[in-house]
Amino acid sequence: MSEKIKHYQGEALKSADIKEGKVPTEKFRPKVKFAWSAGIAIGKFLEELKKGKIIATTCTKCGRIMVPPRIYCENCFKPTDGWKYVKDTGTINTYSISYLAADASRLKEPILVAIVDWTVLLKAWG
Amino acid sequence: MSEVAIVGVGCVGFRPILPELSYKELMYEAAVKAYEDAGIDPRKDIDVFVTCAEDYLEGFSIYDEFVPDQIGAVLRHLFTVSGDGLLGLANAYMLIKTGHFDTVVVEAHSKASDLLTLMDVIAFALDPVLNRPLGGHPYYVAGMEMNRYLHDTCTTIEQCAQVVVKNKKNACGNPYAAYSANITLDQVLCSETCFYPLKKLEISTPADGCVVMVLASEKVAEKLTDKPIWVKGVGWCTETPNLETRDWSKAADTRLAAEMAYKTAKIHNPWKDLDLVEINDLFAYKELQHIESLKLCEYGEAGKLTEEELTARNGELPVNPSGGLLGMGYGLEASGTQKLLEVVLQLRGEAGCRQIPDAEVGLAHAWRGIPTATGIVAVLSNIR
Amino acid sequence: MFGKKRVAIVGAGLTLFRRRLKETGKELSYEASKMALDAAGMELKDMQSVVMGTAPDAFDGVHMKGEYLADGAGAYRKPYTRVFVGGGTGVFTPLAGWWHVASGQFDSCLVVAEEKMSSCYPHPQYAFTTIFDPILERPIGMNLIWIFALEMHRYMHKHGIKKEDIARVSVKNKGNALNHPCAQLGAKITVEDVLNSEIMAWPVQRLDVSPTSDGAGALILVSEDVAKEITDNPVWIDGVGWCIDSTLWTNRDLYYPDYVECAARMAYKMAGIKNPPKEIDVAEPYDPFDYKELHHMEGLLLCKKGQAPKLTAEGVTQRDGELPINPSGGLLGVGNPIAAAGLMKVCEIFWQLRGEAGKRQIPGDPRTGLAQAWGDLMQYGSVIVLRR
Repeated sequence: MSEKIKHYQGEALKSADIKEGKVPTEKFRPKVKFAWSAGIAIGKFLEELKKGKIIATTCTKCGRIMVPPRIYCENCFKPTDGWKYVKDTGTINTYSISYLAADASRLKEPILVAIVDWTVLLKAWG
Repeated sequence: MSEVAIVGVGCVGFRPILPELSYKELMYEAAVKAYEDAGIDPRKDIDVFVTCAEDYLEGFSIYDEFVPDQIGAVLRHLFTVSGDGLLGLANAYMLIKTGHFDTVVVEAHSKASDLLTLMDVIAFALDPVLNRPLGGHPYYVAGMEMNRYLHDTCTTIEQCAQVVVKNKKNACGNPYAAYSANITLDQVLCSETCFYPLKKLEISTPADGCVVMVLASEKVAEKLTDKPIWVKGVGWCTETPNLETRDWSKAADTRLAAEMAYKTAKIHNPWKDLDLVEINDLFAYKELQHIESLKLCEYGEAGKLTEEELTARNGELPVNPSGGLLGMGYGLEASGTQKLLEVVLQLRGEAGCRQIPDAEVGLAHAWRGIPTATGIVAVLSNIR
Repeated sequence: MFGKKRVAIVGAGLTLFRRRLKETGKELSYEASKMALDAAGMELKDMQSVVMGTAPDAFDGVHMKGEYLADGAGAYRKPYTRVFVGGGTGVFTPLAGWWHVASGQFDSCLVVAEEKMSSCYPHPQYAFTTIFDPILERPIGMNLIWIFALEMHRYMHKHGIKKEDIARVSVKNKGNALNHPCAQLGAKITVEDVLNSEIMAWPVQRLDVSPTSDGAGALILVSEDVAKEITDNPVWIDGVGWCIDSTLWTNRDLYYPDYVECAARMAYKMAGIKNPPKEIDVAEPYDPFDYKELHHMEGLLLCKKGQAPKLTAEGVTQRDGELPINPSGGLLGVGNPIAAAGLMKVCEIFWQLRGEAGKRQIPGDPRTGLAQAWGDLMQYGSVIVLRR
């Protein structure tokens, strides 16, 4: 390391130091609540999901059928052109078996997660 | 070194709430307007995109993840400035000045209506060990500052209230304003005291909206538009986050930011050299405090200037002809861009019934709100 | 770069990286800034501007944490900006510092990156739930580990890469980190140790992953004129690049990071680099997971797609190899305080190019180095090219 630097600052603590009150701590839980507007596209998507259907938007310029639907094609930067129902089958693009919950604790039963290419989805990017 | 100009603006809002659009759709609409105004294709013509946002105002950690698609920035060069839209402008200005980039887009928005606990989030910005445990609504900080300011400057509460009357009335001519109103001085003075001596009608109410700006270097600006608005100087400064060590009656952050901007823009006598100013009036007294820290007058005189209507839209130096935040609504991190929008429209001659005749040089100012002491100033002109 | 302003790094500072540090975020920022100033022989009053990089506010537990950290980062009454691009922040912050000086607006800029993940309870991992879309993704209960696992699995599947090939990166980096004074998890491990470690989300195992950490780093950036006055050994920022891909990361093939290539091309163009594997002497790509080093080597055009595991197996990426990769020990060995991790990599290249990396010094006379960070939802790349 640079000859001028002799000392690297940092005093490591253990989890026990905090639990046993060896260092002063301040605990706080913020009140943070949101209600996000689903908007035009996702609003319709959720309505259709309630009916058991998956709806997509289409772009005639690049030919994509997009799920989740949006009011703009991000590739062409233009409004999307219409709606189309999509089959609920597909091919697994990749998968994993997770033994961890969202807070990093271990799950008793692992969960299977995957990314699915929809059957009707055309190749996304050229 | 190239000059920098604003060549396109797009605004959606501001409205008390915009529930029919998701934040993505809101940004898309404003971006489309800005790109049409500038006459550019975002997929080809833009070098850098800047978004201005804070995680906790949006409800997402790492907010820039959710930005590229709706403003045309997929597989392009985008980043987030955690600050006001005017700070985004400062960074866009520097990017173009490096000579490596020609066209930069700045986006800022507010979807305050999606955030159900805005005041709790603002309180969450207080120092977690020294201030937050005291509890209470965070705007007590504004009450304390107003009290000190009134004491030190002998400004009266009537003079503060006059700001509200002026700004809400100015907003009546502004299609982008959410809270325009014709109210009287008495109505303001009789409104409920919230954080002594700050009254309810003196506090800006949040609003939803989005502003997108397109900036360009000289050579590109000249091709795109015959009405470029030149950014003559930018300044920004953070005094300190600590409530215990800041100047409580003079907004030092704004004064230092102004000095920096005036130096580059060669403004020697602000009151004379500027034709209009759009400054932060999140709380009515803040407009007066900022008039002084922007060196538009001597310390303590802003109240009198307001009383004598020298800062009215038809006055000697119009302050907040848009209606300010009191009239337009508090657009969170888009507040500075609300001001920038008005200055650009005025300098282009596109401000409709709010138009200030022969406006050539304008100033836009932002303050990041409670509990910060961060100010940003930009001086703009339609003359190169 | 002729005709445009050059910017040099003249000092660097770094705190220890640990799972949990006593110092507050402000104190960490101060320690790193002070170290960098001392190393450069400068004082805070010499700094005309400050740029801070720090990742989700949810970790430190303060809204607008950029403002909160301002005084610790020396920004009292100075122009101060916080930039934030998720994990890419550590390399992005010096880029922001670069344009502060390259624009001519300032002659100097103090660049600081800080992260205090340990404040977040019950575990910093939990804060990551909020990086996902609240309507489409959060209800699934997403976890950062398994989105990486999805990408890792796709990469392995596309190129037929085995876990052993990937585990070698963890062995190399944790071994390299033994020589880093700030390292949290420097260790001598074997490929078997990695393959036998606890499965977190298949195919990700515990020793494939970098830890959560607290830490901070800082750099001093100055203009060419100032650099010539204060040092004989400036390190020039010759290339900057950054790029973001679509929010909808599930809509593309995860085996290759297009956004890293896009950022790299931007930086290479500016630096005049036409043949990266030949012209780059040392590189620090982002390695929060071992497979990411390989993924990023390919995205940085340092080798062909799918070839990075082969180079690792052949020892090309060791400190004494043809193209040393992560001589610092990377995030896997030194630690991963999100924003400060990327800055640690820039510090490493700075020290390597000056011959000041001590026991980690790569042999020869390295003149061109690169650091890269990755961020957001599998979508962000930031790249910096440094030259002596």
